[in-house]
Amino acid sequence: MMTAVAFPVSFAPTARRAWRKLTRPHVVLGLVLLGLLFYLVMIPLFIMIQTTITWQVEDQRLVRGVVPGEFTLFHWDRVFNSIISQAMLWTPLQNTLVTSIGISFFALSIGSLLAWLVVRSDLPGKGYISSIAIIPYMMPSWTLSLAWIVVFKNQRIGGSMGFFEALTGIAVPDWLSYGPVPIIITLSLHYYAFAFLLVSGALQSLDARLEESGEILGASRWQVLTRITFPLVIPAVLSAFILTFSRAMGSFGTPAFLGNPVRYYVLSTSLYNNIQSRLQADGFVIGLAMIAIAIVTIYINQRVIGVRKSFATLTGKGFTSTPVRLRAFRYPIFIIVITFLTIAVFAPLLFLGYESLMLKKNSYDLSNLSLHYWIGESNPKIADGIGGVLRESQTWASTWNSVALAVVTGVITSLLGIFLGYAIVKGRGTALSKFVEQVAFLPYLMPSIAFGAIYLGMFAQPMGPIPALYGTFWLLVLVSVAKHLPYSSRSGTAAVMQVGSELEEAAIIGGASWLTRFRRIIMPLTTAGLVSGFLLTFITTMRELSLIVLLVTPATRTLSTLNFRYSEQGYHQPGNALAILLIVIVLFSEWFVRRLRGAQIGKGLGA
Amino acid sequence: MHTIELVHVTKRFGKVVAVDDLSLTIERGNFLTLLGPSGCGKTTVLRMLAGLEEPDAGDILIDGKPVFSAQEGIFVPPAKRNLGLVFQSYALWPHMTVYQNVAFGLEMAKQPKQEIQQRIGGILKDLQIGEMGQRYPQEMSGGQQQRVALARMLAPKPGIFLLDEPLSNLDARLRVDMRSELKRLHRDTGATTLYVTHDQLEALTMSTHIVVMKEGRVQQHASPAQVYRTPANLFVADFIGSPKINLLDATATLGEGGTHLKFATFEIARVLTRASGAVVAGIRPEDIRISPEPDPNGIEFKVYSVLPAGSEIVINAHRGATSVVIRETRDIQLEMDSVIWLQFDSKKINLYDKQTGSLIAAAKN
Amino acid sequence: MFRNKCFNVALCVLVIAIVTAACTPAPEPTKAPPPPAPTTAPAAAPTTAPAAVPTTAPVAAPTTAPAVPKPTEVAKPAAPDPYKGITAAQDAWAKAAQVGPYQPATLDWDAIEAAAKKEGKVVVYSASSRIADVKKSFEAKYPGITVEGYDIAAVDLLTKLQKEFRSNIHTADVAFVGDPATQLGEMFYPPNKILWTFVPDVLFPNVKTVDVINQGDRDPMLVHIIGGYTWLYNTEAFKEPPIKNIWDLTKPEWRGRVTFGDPQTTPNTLNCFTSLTNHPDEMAKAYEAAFGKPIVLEPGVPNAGYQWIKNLAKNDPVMTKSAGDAGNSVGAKGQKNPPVGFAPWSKIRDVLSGNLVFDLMWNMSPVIGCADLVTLSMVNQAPHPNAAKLMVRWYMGDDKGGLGRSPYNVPGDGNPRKDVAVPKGGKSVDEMQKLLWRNDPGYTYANAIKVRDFWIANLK
Repeated sequence: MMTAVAFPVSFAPTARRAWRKLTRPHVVLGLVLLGLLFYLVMIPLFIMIQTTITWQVEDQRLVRGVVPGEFTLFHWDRVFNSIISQAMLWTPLQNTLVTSIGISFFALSIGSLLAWLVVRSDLPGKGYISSIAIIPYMMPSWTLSLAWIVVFKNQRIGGSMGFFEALTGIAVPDWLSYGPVPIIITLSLHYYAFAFLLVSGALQSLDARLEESGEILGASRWQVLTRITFPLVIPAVLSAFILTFSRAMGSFGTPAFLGNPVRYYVLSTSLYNNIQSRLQADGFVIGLAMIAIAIVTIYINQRVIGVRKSFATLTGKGFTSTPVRLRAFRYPIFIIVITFLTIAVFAPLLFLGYESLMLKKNSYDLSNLSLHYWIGESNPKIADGIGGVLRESQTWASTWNSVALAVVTGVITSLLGIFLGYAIVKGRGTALSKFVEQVAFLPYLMPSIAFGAIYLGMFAQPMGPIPALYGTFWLLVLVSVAKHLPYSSRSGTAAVMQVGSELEEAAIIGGASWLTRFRRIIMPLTTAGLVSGFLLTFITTMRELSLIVLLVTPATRTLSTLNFRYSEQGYHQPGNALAILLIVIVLFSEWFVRRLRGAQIGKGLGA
Repeated sequence: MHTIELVHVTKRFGKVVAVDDLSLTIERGNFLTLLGPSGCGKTTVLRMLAGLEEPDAGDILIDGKPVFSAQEGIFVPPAKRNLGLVFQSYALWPHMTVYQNVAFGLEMAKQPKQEIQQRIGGILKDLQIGEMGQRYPQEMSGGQQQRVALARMLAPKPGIFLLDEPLSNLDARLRVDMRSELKRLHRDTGATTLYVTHDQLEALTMSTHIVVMKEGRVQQHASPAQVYRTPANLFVADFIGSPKINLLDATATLGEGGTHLKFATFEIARVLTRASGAVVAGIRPEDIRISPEPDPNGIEFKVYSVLPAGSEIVINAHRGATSVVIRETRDIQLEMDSVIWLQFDSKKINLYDKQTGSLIAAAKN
Repeated sequence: MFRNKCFNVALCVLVIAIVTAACTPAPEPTKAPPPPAPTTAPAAAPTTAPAAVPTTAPVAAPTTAPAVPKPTEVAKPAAPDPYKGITAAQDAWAKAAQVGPYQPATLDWDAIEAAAKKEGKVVVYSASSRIADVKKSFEAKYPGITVEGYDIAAVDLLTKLQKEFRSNIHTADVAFVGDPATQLGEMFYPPNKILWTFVPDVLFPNVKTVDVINQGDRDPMLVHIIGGYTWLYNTEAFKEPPIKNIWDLTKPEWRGRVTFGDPQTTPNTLNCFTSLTNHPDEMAKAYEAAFGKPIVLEPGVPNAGYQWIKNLAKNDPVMTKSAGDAGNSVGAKGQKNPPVGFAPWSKIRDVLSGNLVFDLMWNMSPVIGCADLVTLSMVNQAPHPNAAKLMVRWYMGDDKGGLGRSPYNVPGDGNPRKDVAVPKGGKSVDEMQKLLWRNDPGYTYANAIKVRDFWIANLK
């Protein structure tokens, strides 16, 4: 990499020095990655903004005679300041804030409490509990909402009854069937696992001696918890809150399933509705509003935390400390935790599984149970001839697509994460490093569905070195990789940070080129982070829906999108069967990779 | 076996000047120690020499050939400078066995496998870790890891050794053992060695030359004995020696038979070093004689503390506000608060300018 | 986690950019000019004018366009020429493929088949999953020609075609998709000549197309399905249709018990509601029949069709994710108090197979539903034009239905071919024409979004 010799001698020495500075591996890498990020992140954002301020072809439906491509503020005016603003923006905005804050609050409370119990207390069966507790994170967030509908469906949308009503005969009130309450409950039961991973990561790296010092000075366990432990992990908790908030705000499936029947719209469903009505520009305005909210929350977060930077008070090492004794509460708490996990993890699967066995929708008779939607032959009289999912060639094609997409995305993302981490960590303090870090975080703020919509148009033509990807598998890979950049850069940064710079310098002295160093030193030493990053990406890509729903074609359809298409068309039983198949594959893969490499998805979050 | 020259080398990190216009020559085969408190820039000098940092200005030459020149834009990469480096943390690659760690440099140099095997077998044996080739670093003790780090440095037979506080992570006993081994190693290989430490004892015991640094500047470059006996300034005087040198403010007047020093609470006449005005007198603790009995030539002090350390006793004595430390090798019994009489060796007092802190006159040794 | 100051700065800049952008449209909330027509409601007048508005046809002043759904009358000029202004490349392609202006009066189908075999492939974008059946039968009929069938939701399919056209990508040969409003509005006329109508001169079994398909179903576009969307009731709970007049749905007794696909996400519902606004006189007459007094439009409501939509919106309707779901809700067995709903007629299949129990409100006035069309077109500069022609003909089936058409021969999905027997539970194309209001593509295109806005604005 030190190419001083190769450089023309005529150049001034200062130029040579500058050249050498620019050709340092992390600078070159940083610049290359910046180019990539510009391409994958900045251009889409730019297109998004541009779309909102120009006339679109389809605007002719509203305003005749417009010239597509010309500048206008029509869309902004329409979204913010027209008779439909209330219904399209302000009410959904209010709903979004209510649900997202509710979800973040409950998810954080449950997740932190569980994390504390698992990391710090003498709760029995902690190992099992923490493995089970993260299962919801591996399930698509909308499976819980599907299960909710199976159970609490009422006569509001007519049709069949839910389990609850069928068994008890009690009519379920609307507020329990649909709307904010079930949205908050189901998504909290999903995102608590996310919070659990983040907070337990922070708790594990908390130096127990800090707590012990407090104890020696005579503080009670409770005082230690509230005066020492809690303030120390609060940055982590707040960050987890913000991350959960952004994710909850961007989630689409659950509000669509549970909100639409009672016209409870949130920003993401409002955005989707606009895109469905081919009002893409209006949808993008809403998308930008969502980005703005995410930015504001992060800004507030920073102001609140102030100088107490996240994790700054935490040392990197783990310490074993004597667990807090729960004494008489040990078993009662254990039972509560087990009950909770049963409700959050196993019950949804059970209900989905049961419904997938119901031949006809409205009959809870045992005689109605059938394996038709699993292994039955196609029968035109049942579900328009959709055969058992295990028999349909579509299922296997989609499964293959899902797995291939998840594996390829996982590999690319985790490698890219290490590169990003390298560029960010080795360049610490430089503007380039900061910029790369920030731009890599941007996709986190962009709603998946809008992101997908932009990619739909962006890669129709060959762009630079990338050929036209329209409708191909690689477009899905590209968009998934781009959307995972925030995670990969975080986990990559954490992984590279753990590799002391001297380890690489020792290899420089030994005469290893940069590639050799990367291959023989950096890569092997970041394997744990690499595999964890892979696992996280694999799981989230397997269940990804909103990001790719606009980009899949029949040839590239994945399990989750096939599931969505089924439930969109009202074929709930085969849809549920697919959801279960998907979950089984994800759980098995996670178990397999964990067995193989001892990776943890928590590490993949950079926690 | 190279000569190393650093010429007007400057290195900044942001606004902080880590190394400030430093010039330094290490003659072939010398064992030069960079000594100074943390943050004095000594490690930066080593890293610049290694090629891990690039100076902002100046030249670095090995055997007269520039490996770095800011003016001409020359930069020779580390691997081409024929040097080996041991890091403070050892920086052993945890995913490689001892053998793989040591073989890395030779592999990079594309040496035949056979030769590598022989060479490493020999080195590991010499360093008494011959049996441990297949272990991983984390399965070894600190001392063994240290040897692996040395082995890795030695394997490609570098002409320059760079050692960055290699002993600081070892316990006290091992440190003493390793000192003599390192000294032996230097002697056997004859490699020009740059050793960085903040431990003056290491510097004094092992080096042929010592460079004391402070805030990126060289304070003194001399032999260990010179650095000890005639520190170039108050900083060096204060830094070198354990227990610490006594630095006492005095007013000097040139008088009959030498300099007359007037301290706050006592006076010393006929000091051989000549100076006048406001000075600081540097008196090594071993240059003070204790008499438990009244001594007419002595000055009366009160024992403040007695710290016996087996081979020596360190005594802190007060006279009014004046406090001195005495190192006594005789086996004498002293009680705290007892009265003693001190005789200062007037031949061995160094005088420093009170204003500039630099040595005015050195005691003759 | 989010620790960088620079990050703050970068994001703040973004926020500021967004905020400024959001604020600029209405620097001065100027009053809109007085409404040009008395139908424009004063209540909705003080909307702001977007800064840059191109001049438009006087009927749809852009100042009021987003706010007041003044129905845009689509003048029926002499039918525009769908080929005027095509590019040289398109012209060359049309000439070589013998389509559009170059289509001869009689086609040599043997030559087409031979050429198609040479092409070896045909790419179909289909908004229906039944493309799988078509693929199977077509490949059996024409071995050597592979069908690449894409099953894509209608909105995405149209978007995909538009993006591909703009990017000069020519992949698709045949498009099988609904929403003729958008097709004709944005994709049929140069310079956006994305779709080409190809009408085979003869169909299986050797009948002249003009003899079996009405002109309206082959010009300007070839219709494949006349999709009926109708109001339904549960036959288990009601012995006879509980509703005789469309205005009954807005009465309090049906509060919370009317269900249909969400107009925001199911275009068929929206299109059908839009067609109600295109028949204001019939709607007004029906109002009088239902309430015994002439209709008085509320301020801001342009006509009786809109008034009905507004009243329905205020009656707590239940919206489903898809139109079909509404049919499931209405027709599920064992309900004590089932809703009435608006769903695809073709849902009647589930009644015939015994899964659901519902029937159409056969005698509801002024209309029991609407017809939304699915068309079959060739895609601009299709790479396999001859195979595409074969495919279009195959899709149209034969007098028994035919394997290409039979997957779609379901009751309620009207077949434009009049020589094919109507399946049980369905009606012929001419009968459907009488029963249903057919959505006018031009009117739908110009008004559907306004109806949507009106709907959204009145929901609560």
